[in-house]
Amino acid sequence: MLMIERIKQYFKDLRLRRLLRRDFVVPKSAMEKTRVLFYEALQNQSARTHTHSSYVFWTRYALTSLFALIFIGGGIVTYADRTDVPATHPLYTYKLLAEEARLQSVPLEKKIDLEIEFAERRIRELDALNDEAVSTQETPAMDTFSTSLQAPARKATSSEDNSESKTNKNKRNEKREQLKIQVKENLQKHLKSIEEYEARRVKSKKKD
Amino acid sequence: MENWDRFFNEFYPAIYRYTHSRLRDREAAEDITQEVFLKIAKNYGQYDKDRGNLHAWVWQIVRNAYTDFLRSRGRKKENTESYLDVDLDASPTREHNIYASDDIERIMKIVENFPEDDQELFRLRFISEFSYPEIAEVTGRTVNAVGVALHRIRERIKNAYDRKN
Repeated sequence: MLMIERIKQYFKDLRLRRLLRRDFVVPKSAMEKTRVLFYEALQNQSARTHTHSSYVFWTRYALTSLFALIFIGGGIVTYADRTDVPATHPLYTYKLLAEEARLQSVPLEKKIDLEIEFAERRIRELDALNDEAVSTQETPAMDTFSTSLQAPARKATSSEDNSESKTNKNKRNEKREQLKIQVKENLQKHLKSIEEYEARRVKSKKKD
Repeated sequence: MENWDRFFNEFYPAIYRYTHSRLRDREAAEDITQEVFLKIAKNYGQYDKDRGNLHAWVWQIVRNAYTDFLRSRGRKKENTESYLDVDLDASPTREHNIYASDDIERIMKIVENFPEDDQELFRLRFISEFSYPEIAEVTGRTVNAVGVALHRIRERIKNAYDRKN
């Protein structure tokens, strides 16, 4: 019974809606005009949103890259400083950078200790460079000895290799000499700084 | 919202009829409906798909546009056309159309004496042709409450209609 009532009610509602639909007729021309404007507005908005989202994307990308760079760079510098890499190591420049940063961030008293520590490092680096130079000077004699033992068939090719290796060795020697000069200069700087800091410390003590 | 065509075809008639029935001014209804769609296009990024409630979101825009329109005209309501101002070509027979228009005129006059909330429910159900759950979304009521309220509205229309006859 209730179901029949509901069905009746549904049809009454349907009739009323149909009558009202006739009374409030939707104008097709206005509808189409609005449709066009609506789609235009949607396109403009989506273009604006796209520009905004791409801007957000690139900003995030740049920031992430920057943080990654700082993180990795910091890691490399710390590694180079902590492991006390030799002067011939590719990370040597970073070690010097780390030392400079450490010097800037400590008070006068500790600066002297650090300068001493760094001067010791320079001395060790110089020793290492000298040791390397001695060991490489021995190698040409060893090389000539070994080549003389080899078969004459390989003579032509080995002579070419020898000339190449000689130029390489010369280059390495030049580089090593340059490094030695650089390390010596740095050592001088450290010694000079130690003297300066010491003088300043004495002055400040006298004032007190 | 990927299917904008479907969205437009569903909401344009609903919004137009609703505003037309409230203002009884075709041109104003067209302007408001157009304004509503431009606002939808501009603000659809703010609509939260996950929270749903599309009808409620759209209807909030409709209400705001309607209020802005009234404010811009500096008046509350103005009836520029009669409910009898109907499209005669939309009906198959003239007799039926006259009967229908006469009927509607009476019903709409009865509805206009109802409280604002009931008028809103009537318009949403019979003019904008929303389902009960859609009306529940728009009005913030439960589906059952909407059903009960609409049943009462029907009864009141029927009683008032019978009394007039």
